[in-house]
Amino acid sequence: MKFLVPIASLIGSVALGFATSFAAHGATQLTVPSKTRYAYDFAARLNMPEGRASSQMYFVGIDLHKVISNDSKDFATIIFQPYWVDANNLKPFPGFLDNEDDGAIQWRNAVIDFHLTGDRSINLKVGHFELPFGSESLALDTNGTLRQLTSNIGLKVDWGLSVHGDTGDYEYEAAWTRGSGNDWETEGNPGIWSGRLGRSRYHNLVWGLSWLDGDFWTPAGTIQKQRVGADFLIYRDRYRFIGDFSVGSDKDLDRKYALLEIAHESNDGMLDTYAQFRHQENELANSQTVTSQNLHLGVKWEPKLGLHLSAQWRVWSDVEPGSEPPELFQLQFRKRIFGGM
Amino acid sequence: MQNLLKLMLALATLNTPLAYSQAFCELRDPSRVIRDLVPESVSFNSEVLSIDDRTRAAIVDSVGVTMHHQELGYHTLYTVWDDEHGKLGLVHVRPEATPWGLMEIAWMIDRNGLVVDFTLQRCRSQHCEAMNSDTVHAVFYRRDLTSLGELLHERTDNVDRMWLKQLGLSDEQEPLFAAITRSAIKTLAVLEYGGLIGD
Repeated sequence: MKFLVPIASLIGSVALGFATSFAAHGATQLTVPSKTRYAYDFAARLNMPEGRASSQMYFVGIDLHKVISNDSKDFATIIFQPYWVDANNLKPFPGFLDNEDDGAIQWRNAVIDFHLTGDRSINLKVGHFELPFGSESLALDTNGTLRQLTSNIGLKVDWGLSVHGDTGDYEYEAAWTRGSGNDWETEGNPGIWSGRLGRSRYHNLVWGLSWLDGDFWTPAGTIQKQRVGADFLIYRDRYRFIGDFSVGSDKDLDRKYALLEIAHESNDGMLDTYAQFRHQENELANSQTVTSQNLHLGVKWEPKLGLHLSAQWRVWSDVEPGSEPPELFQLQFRKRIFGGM
Repeated sequence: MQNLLKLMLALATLNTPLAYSQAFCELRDPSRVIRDLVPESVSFNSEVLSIDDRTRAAIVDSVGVTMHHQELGYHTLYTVWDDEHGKLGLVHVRPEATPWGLMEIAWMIDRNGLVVDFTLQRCRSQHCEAMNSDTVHAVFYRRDLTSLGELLHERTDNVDRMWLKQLGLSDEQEPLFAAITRSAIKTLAVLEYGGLIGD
């Protein structure tokens, strides 16, 4: 029952948004330019692991984008993405949930990005944002999607601040974040430095170098992790190739990670199909090394803008027995309803 | 939980005329192409334009070019400034479907609504370089909406083949040149339709 209050609040916002959207639709063809856009975002996800009971996840959220400017310059951009996530029999469950049937607020991005220079070469971002590490930084849409590019660092978004920008052909970001993910935790004084320097994402050949060093918060205490990595992205005709490689350690135990992805996009970008191969080598306390590999196939179809139908199938997984089912089939239905003001 | 699922299914059946696909955290201002197109600029500010089905239909009726669904929704318009002259013009980036996937074309439009130049923010074809020749860029320079229409065949929205010959472009390169032409027409149509040309 504890999730009824935020859901009721969101439903109220939805109703208000419909009223304003329909009013705008009836009034103006090309609306007066605005500074704010928003989307009500709804998704239902079905997970069907081999040999285990299925699980479901439901997402209800707001995606807000607002620019603050004067007559000649944007000063700051606000992105605010709180989501209510409800899980049903989800095993394993993410850290911000208390159990496999829990519901909680998930913060995706919640940032104020101050544009310190007019040409955007230096910006200061404060809030909850994606760590600048690896291919996750390539600005490909992995927000609430089945397809993910997150590596083996165990954290995607975190609270903190970063300096970022682009200077001609190159872009950079360096961040300090709390290391506790969805919630701000201080026990054990966690904290992470991370960063990426790379070629501009607008080239057809993009590459980047990343680093990460810090103490990650866990309920059992902090874990020191270190990584250095390299990533690339190649666009060629309707194909997209991604590589992401990193080495480092968790509590002085070696970690190696590699991701290769090949994707095909339709002419209009509305149908995306992909294959992802991951390889990991994790050193254990007894100095043995465990190797795990898996292959995902996926498709994301957008028959009309704002309606996303996705499927992902882990067709093969070579891991230690009992750690994860070899096969996992996932379906996701997502609807984004948009407005501006 | 069932109520929540029902709510989502009900919402899915509603017609939502305004849409833009990606999560907003993926939006990036095209600071690099603004620097390329307008090197003298010192700053820019942005506004959001909405294009719904009826706007699209009106534009298609008036200029005779197709607009695919990816072009619906919210698009950002950048006003570019320098210290000496003030407002220099507008920069608008539009996606265009091609046989090689989506192409993103950034346009610089002056205060009078004339094309200054374009740059290809994303182009995946092996023919992209041919679109960066001085002669291709010169074709669009200082054209308004009416004169851009002269680049198209009078009864279709294909490029008049005369232009391909004059520019030395092959048949294989035609889809890219046609996409750039349509993008220019739609950019000016959107700006004129919205009353966004001028001071």
